[in-house]
Amino acid sequence: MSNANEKFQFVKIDEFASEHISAPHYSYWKSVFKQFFKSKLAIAMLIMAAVIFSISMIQPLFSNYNPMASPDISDFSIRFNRPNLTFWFGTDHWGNSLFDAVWSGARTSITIALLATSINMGLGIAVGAIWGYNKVLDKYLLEIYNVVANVPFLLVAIMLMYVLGPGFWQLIFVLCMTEWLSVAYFIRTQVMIIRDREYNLVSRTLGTSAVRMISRNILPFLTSVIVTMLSREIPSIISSESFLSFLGVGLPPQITSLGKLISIYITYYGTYPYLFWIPVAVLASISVSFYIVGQTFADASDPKTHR
Amino acid sequence: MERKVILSARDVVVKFRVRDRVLTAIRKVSLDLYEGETLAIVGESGSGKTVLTKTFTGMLESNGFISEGKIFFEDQDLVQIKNNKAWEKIRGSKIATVFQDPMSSLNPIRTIGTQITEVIIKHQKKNSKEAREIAIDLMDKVGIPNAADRFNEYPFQYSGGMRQRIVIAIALACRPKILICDEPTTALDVTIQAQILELIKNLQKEFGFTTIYITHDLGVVANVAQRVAVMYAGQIVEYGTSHEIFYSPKHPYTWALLSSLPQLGIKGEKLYSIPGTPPSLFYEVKGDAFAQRNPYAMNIDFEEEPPFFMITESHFAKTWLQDPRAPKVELPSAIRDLHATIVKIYGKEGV
Amino acid sequence: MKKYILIRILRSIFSILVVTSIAYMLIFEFVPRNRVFENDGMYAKISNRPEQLPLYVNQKYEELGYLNFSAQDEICRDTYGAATSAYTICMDTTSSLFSKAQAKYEAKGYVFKTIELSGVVYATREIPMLERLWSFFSKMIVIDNPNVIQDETHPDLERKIYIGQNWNKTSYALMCSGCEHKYLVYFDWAFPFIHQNVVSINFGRSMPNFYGIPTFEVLTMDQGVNVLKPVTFPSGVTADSGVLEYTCSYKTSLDSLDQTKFTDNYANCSLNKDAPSMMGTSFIFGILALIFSYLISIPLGMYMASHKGRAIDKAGMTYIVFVIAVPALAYIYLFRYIGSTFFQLPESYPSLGPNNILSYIMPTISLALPSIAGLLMWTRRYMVDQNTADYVKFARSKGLSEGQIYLKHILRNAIIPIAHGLPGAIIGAIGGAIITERIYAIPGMGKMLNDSIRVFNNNMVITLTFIFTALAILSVLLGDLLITRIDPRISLDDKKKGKKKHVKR
Repeated sequence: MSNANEKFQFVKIDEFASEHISAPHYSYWKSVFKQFFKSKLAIAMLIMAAVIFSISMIQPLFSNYNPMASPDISDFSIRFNRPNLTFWFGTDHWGNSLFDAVWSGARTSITIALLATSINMGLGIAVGAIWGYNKVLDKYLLEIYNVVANVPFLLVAIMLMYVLGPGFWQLIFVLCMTEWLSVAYFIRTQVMIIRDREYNLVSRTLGTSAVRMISRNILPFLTSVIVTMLSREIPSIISSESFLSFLGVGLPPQITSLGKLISIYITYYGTYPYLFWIPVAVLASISVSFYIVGQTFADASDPKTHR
Repeated sequence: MERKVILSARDVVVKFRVRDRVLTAIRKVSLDLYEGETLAIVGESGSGKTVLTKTFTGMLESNGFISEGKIFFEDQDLVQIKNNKAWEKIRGSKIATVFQDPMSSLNPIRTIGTQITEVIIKHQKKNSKEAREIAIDLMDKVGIPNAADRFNEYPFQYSGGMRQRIVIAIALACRPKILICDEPTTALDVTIQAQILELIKNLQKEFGFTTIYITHDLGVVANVAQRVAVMYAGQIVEYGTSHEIFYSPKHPYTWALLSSLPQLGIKGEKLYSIPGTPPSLFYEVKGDAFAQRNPYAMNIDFEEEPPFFMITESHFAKTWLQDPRAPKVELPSAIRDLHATIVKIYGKEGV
Repeated sequence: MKKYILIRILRSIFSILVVTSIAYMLIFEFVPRNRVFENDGMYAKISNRPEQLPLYVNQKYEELGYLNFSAQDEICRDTYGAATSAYTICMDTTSSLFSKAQAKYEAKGYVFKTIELSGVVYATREIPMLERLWSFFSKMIVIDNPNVIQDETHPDLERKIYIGQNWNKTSYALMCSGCEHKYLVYFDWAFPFIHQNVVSINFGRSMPNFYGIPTFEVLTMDQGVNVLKPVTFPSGVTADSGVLEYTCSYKTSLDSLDQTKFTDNYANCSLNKDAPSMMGTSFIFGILALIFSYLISIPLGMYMASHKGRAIDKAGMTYIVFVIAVPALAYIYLFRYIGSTFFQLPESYPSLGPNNILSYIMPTISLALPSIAGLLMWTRRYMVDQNTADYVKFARSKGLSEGQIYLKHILRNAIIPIAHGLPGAIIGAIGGAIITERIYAIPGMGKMLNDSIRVFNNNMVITLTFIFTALAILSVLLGDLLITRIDPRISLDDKKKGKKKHVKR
């Protein structure tokens, strides 16, 4: 049968087609964002973080809030109003609107967190990358790190604030002072691990300059690692700032932060609980939303989780 | 001579769930294992050789499952065993495995001795003193000097070759019926490889178990195997005695594999390599899986899957080239006179 | 191995000293020294007599180590001797003898000032930082010996070390006359059964709170209400008293009450009170929290790892996220709220006091919450890795049951993350203590740190810094040593030279 004979005819193989790897086309950043937006929780948190951030930045510009004064010292009726339609969050012991107080505090807390985190991460990554790369530097810095790193953070922070006195920039200094070295150490360890991986050995053998290697080979790999760190740094700094303010070693009286508000309103915990719990809730919301967004993004930027 | 079949796999299909998709790693494999023989399963990475043997011991990863088929062993269908407790009776005592990397097979913070005796205590129900004696005896048999002294040492105090010997000792501690060796020499020095293969051969003679070797190294196959099964893309494409496979292979893939032996390379000429890559097993394969890379492919190879054609009682090949309607094809020149070529290179008798 | 341990210990001590020195220098350089008087009752009293003020202030500065201070009479006495005619002439500041004395002092770096209201002259010398640091450290370790007490009213004080008996004549002790403490080495039923007063640590005196008491003693003395028991004093009198006989130290002048009880000058004794000391309280909570966190995290972590992806695992991960993401301040308060509303647990420690077990529950759990999150995450991750480790697969292929694999292989390896997590957990507990003690009003070292900062009690701040740092660094050392003991792959003394090799074939 001619049919059967046709079936048994030789076919010329298409070498090109045989090399085709039948996996779908892949773009790194597209996959990262696709993966991120898959999580409904992350999207919700992103929106919440954006909303809180906007309100904190904008609202205090219009509120004329002054933590050290009362709008009307003699009028007792404006004090301690529970949340109602005029005062959405109620009023405090001086008659100031808690709504104003909370957003003013949130603005400070968020600004401090972002500033301190940027400095820590920037300095930490820069130093850490070089540290991990350079064996000589490693020897010395490791010694210093071992001495300094084991002292509990809160202890150092309290002591430094004690020495420097209260102040916005002093607080930022203290929050950075201890943390950047830990960031640098972590990056240094990661760098050391991948520095010795084959593809880097190859680059080195081919004579790639150290700077180019760091920026092209090593840092992109660290994206996922860095974003994970970021997602933890921000809540951690918010938390530290809040307890330093709570312990009374943070900001001067003219500047308010969520931690400060919590420490002031703690005395009304039993009598006017809304004064205490509302700032706590706002503080927790900021922290949680930043954390979840950061974590989801970090997971999304790990290529192993891509399809 | 009628040899007894001790394990028989029939039409086994194994699938894996990978991130919302399903990969069919074994696509209908049937295999008979005869008592006392040495079978080698060869194929490139991803052909399914390890997965197949994992089904014999129930060691498939948690996302893997046997969707069809039966595996008969000692009046049981191994496919039906669902819980770990039932597998405990088989693993180690009836079917044992030796893995590729001896360092990671041993627990680094426990002594060598305890890792041997725990198997003996569990399966042979001996007490620790008796188990210790048996273990030291075994260590001697596998060639560990001063076994009694070294009983209490830790894995890191042993060299790679020694550790693999220990792993073999552990695997054989309960005199299993079947020993599966998954690339046992790949991680070792070339000089040690021969020793280990020799050791397993001798132990097989002494204890009388059946060995399955999984390897991609044809040199190892030539050294130890009585029968060879060639796997590609989740199926066995050809099987027979090693003589038949080396000297009269019938499947184009087997030809390609043999042609790739670097020893056959001629100085000054390009080494042979099989172009392309195996097909993705996420998708169903139409026709013959090797068709795309097969220089001897025919139209029918892209449409229908070939059945097994019998060449001799022991030799079967799954290729349309064996169909009476197919054109006659000669062995590729490189492997036509494999025996003579090998003898010329090594100056000794071949397989 | 021993050499390595020694080096590590020396390094740890070095680190502690470096950190304490830095703290000391920062505090004494930058914290305004006059702020210590803001809460000082004595200062308030003396401000009514302004001519006394500079003398008081400078005397305190001298005690705190800022400067050397000599008032006029001391200058003259020092130059010409006491009760001599030269001395009397010197006291006239216009005399030449005085000018000579002044010149001598000024050559040493003293600056002279006059109090306008009374005409009294005094001289001060700022002590340079390095010298200050040196004297701080050299005074730190005090060894008691029979020559310590120099009492002008008792010039013939017997100086000897002897073996004697305690007041009840129930045991022997190494005792001393002429030392600060009467009992040098003694035995009793309290842990660790042998006690000593020979070596003690001195960081100066607390000021302005717990005025005049050495800082270390403030932290280690009992708190609370006196506990009275019948005591037989050396004089033979029996009375209900809280006196702890082994703490008795030299008192220069005995009052009438003392004279009825004591036969020598060792009448300055600590009192037995019902509440543990600040250090004791913090330690109790710290250890309870540590045990609690380990008891929960390790088993839970292992369970989560073997049931990965299921309900318990998800719940555990949510908890970890919660603790990381929510500021500690918020969740500790939230937790306290839940505890007090639903379980009727006390919201502050002093409300039910140290002898009621309910007071301990919430603070311990609050202190443990962050450590649990950390330990849980670490344990789970480690266990997941172990579950997929090759040696586990091999063990399974040997036919061992899951239970046996767990017990004999995985569990043994679990000790590694436990030891690894120990320093972190302890360090976390220290920081956590500061917050928790504040929230629950627990009278421990954390609260003391906070209080000391508010009143500018520098000596106390330094003492606490030293203690916390020492704890942290020693816990790291402990963790390291523990790991090397457990993991046979690490042979400490060969860290630099490379592994010891057995003859391999």
